[in-house]
Amino acid sequence: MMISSAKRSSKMVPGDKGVDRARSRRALGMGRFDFERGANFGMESIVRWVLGPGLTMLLLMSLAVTGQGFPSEGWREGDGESSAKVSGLVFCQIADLGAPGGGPPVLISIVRSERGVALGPENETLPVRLRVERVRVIDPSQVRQLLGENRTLGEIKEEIEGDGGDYSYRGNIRLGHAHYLLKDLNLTSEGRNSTLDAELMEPVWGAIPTAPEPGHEVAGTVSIETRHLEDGSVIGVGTILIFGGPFAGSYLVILDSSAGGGCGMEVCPTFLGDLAGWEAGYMGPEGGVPAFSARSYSEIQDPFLEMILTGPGLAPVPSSWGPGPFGCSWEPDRHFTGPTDRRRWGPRDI
Amino acid sequence: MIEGDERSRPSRGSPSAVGVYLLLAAIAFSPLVPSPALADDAVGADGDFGSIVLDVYLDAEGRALIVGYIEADGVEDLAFLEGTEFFYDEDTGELYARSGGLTSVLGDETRVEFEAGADWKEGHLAFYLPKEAELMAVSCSEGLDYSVVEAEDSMKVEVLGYDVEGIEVVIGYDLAG
Repeated sequence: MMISSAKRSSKMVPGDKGVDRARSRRALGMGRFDFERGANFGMESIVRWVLGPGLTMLLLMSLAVTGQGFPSEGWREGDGESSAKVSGLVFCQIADLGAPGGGPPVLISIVRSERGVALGPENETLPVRLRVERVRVIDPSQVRQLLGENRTLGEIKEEIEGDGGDYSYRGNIRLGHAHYLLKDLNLTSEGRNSTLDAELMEPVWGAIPTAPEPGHEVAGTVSIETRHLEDGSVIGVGTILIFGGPFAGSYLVILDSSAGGGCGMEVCPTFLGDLAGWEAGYMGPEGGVPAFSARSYSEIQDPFLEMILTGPGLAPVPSSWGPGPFGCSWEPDRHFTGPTDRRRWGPRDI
Repeated sequence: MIEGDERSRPSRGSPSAVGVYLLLAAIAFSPLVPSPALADDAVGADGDFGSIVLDVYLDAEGRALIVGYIEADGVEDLAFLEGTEFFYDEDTGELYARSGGLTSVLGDETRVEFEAGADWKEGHLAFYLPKEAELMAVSCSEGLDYSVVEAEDSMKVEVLGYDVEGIEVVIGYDLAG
């Protein structure tokens, strides 16, 4: 199954939208969100005007608590070298997903490290972790040759770093307690937003294969769009499709975007604080008929809510609740924290 | 009237507006709930350890080159670096280490023992064994998963984990074939 980036136009035409949705309502006899007629002030009104702002406040409060409650994820907090917290602001790293070679000249760096939740139908949720690493391609044979030549560590380092070399991306996703490796990982950026597309591979975990495997079959796909909102916050939204097994189904994924090892530094996301920048961009399965596409949402003013509600249909997923962490990894950019050369050599200097 | 009835009836199998807000509420409260993962994070705070991503290249003589990224306040106390020649850049988190003590030989079996006793938010290790290695056993500490794949010129053992209290990996293999 292929995932296409079926982004909706950022410029919406209210008239067109209204006509389509009115048709949809007439066709299906639905008027669930018809606030215009003024006759349906009921539960929806309460949700929209009371629960919505209330929960948004709770979100903001929880983020504040999160920032204070995870000193673990601050980088050398309080040692005077870090700008992790400045006047109540918490900074975190936003990875540089720019052109290859634009990242730090290290062999391995983490360019995306995110956690969030995956939403199935009937409001079932699973915790999600996503990590993407930028890795210098190293030939193991070359390393073994260098080890065999009794080179010093400095010489080996110089040899490995000296030939330029290519970088590639690798990563994995944990959905609930299931690990999937990312294959054919494709990271693209447009403006300040980026998109991650990859296939999911599920190797045999916890067992030694008795025979060489011909290759892992594709277990699913993932597509995540990360957007930088106008207030500087960052959010990732997308889909995970799992083709088989206990986690088979389609999941809407919401990720708190933070990363380690990146280059840039931006204000840590005030997740869901100001979603005005969202224009209901969404990725849906190509050719699929969204289960909720015929419903009317013309009266929903919250673009984020609209985006979710107008997303693709969600297949059944297991209702196992795992731990639901959703804390930001409050990490300042270590590339800017060290006033001096803090490199160290081990017992045997070279 | 019918519309009113329809509206009052929850829509089964689809994320309603209430459902979405419930999801947002879950997100909002999740940092406050003392879940195991959050507890792990809290523990990890004390040690100033975050992520560990290492590639370990082993040759037939048991020598190892360890390269990668470690997010930590210091790496000197990590067991796998004891007595090892290493280079660690605290600014970038980059680690280079050359070790002869990571492996031991008992009869035909070569054993790799890797230990990084700290609370890690994320862990990813890739061991590149010689291609002719015949795997006999792999064991990992709690919270870690491993997989084995035959790479071009290596036998690759990949270990993954999130929010783990200490990382221990033991790999036994036979080079005699």
